[in-house]
Amino acid sequence: MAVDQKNAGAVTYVPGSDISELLAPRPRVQPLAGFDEDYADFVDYIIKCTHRIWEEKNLGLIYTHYTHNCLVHTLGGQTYGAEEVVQNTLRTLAAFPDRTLYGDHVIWGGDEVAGFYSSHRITSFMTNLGPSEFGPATGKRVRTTTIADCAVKANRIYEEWLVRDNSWIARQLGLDPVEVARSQAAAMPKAAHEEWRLGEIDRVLGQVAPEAAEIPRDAAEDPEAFARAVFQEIWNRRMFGAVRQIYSPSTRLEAPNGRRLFGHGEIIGWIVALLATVPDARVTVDHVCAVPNGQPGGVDIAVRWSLAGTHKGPALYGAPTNRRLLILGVTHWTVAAGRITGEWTIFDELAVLRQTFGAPGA
Amino acid sequence: MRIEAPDDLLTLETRVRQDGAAGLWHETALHTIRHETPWGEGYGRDDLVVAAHSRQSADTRLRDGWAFGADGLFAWSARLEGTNRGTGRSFQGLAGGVARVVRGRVASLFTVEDTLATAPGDPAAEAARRRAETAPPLVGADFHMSQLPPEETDLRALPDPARRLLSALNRRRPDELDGLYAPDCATELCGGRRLEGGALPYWRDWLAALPDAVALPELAVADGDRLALLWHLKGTHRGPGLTSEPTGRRLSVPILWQARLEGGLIAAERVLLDEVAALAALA
Repeated sequence: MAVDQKNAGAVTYVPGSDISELLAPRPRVQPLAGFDEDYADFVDYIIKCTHRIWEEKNLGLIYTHYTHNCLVHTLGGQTYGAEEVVQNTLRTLAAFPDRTLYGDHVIWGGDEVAGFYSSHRITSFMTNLGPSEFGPATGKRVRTTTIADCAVKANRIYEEWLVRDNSWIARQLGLDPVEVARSQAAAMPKAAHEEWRLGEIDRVLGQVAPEAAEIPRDAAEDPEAFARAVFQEIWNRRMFGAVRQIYSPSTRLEAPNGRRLFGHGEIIGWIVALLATVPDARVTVDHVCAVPNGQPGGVDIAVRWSLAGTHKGPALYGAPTNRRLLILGVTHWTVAAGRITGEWTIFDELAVLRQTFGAPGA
Repeated sequence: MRIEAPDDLLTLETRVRQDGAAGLWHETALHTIRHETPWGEGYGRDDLVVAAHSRQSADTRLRDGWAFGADGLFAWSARLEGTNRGTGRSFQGLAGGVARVVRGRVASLFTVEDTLATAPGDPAAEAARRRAETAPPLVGADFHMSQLPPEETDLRALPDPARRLLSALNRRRPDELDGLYAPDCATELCGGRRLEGGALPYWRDWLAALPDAVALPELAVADGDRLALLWHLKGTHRGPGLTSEPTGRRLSVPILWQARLEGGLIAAERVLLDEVAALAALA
């Protein structure tokens, strides 16, 4: 896959752009059949509709920006249809009324014919003023990172994959993520979600040894081949030394639970800890999109991935339970001069912890 | 106000501190700005404004400011003077930072505020009080992961003498630091401390406290006779110093080092290393 979006050069590039520029009206610069007239390009659509729906609290726009049968996947469960998106948003706003969403990046692909795909990284601030999935109101202000991957056609999102750093929220609320997960796990699982989860685990796990993959030297030339090879080598083949080859020594990595890692040693350490928790883990790369970032050999890559395995190690999530675990994750990379210089990897650790406690139905 | 040149950044920081003009961040920073300090990470313009208000002392003054940089990477530092709000005593310290600037706005920022000078009480008590502000412990972190000596490859791109400074520390050859300094070099440290003739004793103390320490560079700013380096000293607290007994904890200390060069030697330097934040991470 080459980075060859039509008119990509004119499409909004979010990093380095101020909100005053991002929300200003602009003429259309990209073919967008079926989209509302005031969207200049696909990134403009994502940024503006997010702002209008969640920050200006015009929830009714969900009915014109989601399909009636839209599927939204999270590791904690799936929802179906625009109506459920509206209802879930209402519940979130009641618990966190001042929620603000800062768009950090929109990495995208596709076109108006085949459909667009966006990977939208968001930093949120919110104050917990009402009861929530975490428990009674705490009155505390929290920050979290979310990545929303959306498949979009003609102004409407028809499938979405949502990952949010919920364990970091729990910690900032003054709660123990393990105890929150334990009490959440006691809730009745949804049968349909459990079928999906077990199906995903079977899809991801394989019985054969992972094959070697050659990591392309030029990520910008073929970002998808680069992403697939990196996940194959580091995560599936456990070739952790490749981190030194493909990450800059001064790479910063944001990981779940608010972890901030710097440099090769800390990055390798965290990956080893996660894989030691699920030592038979296999990872599949489910989607890749990319945009050029203006640096020499520079490209920003979004990777949606799934990890499945058995909770056999104590490194991260407590004493091994031998339960089967699934992780739905999204990674954003900044690549310059052939090396990764920044990474954001987000998944819901609370949902992973819930699975170690046997819910839903593991 | 827009940040077009290094002096603009120093002017902004001066006005925020001296005049209480914290709201200037609204027009000079990106709404998604990342603001790091040795204590942790903030995000967004409002965080910067709140942080500026919380540290303001009515008579804070910045003196002997340095401002330099190019290509959207600007560094500044200054002597910080004022009256401690807790003790009522006057203080002298250092403040400084390094910023990435995109189209006239600050996109990311690392700042050191010299808690040793400005803390309202005893540094150890301040470290304990602010412990909650430090980042969560690293999981599975390993700083070096090799039986071989630290590689020089990661330092190769650094301008001298920054490369030689970190190389000497990584190779446990602090004696080589002597050759980096002009004879009359003055080193300014946090807490109003000053060394003459180079910082060799200071770095030897740190290597003693963290015997397995590795120095990792993050970014360098070179502009004429000025040089700034943001780097991290990472190691295990197994030696003397910092606390009465070694804690055995892993420590990662961000350091903003700035220098004025003459004939390739360090004629003056400022080491912005917040030891109170390091203490808090060990508490």
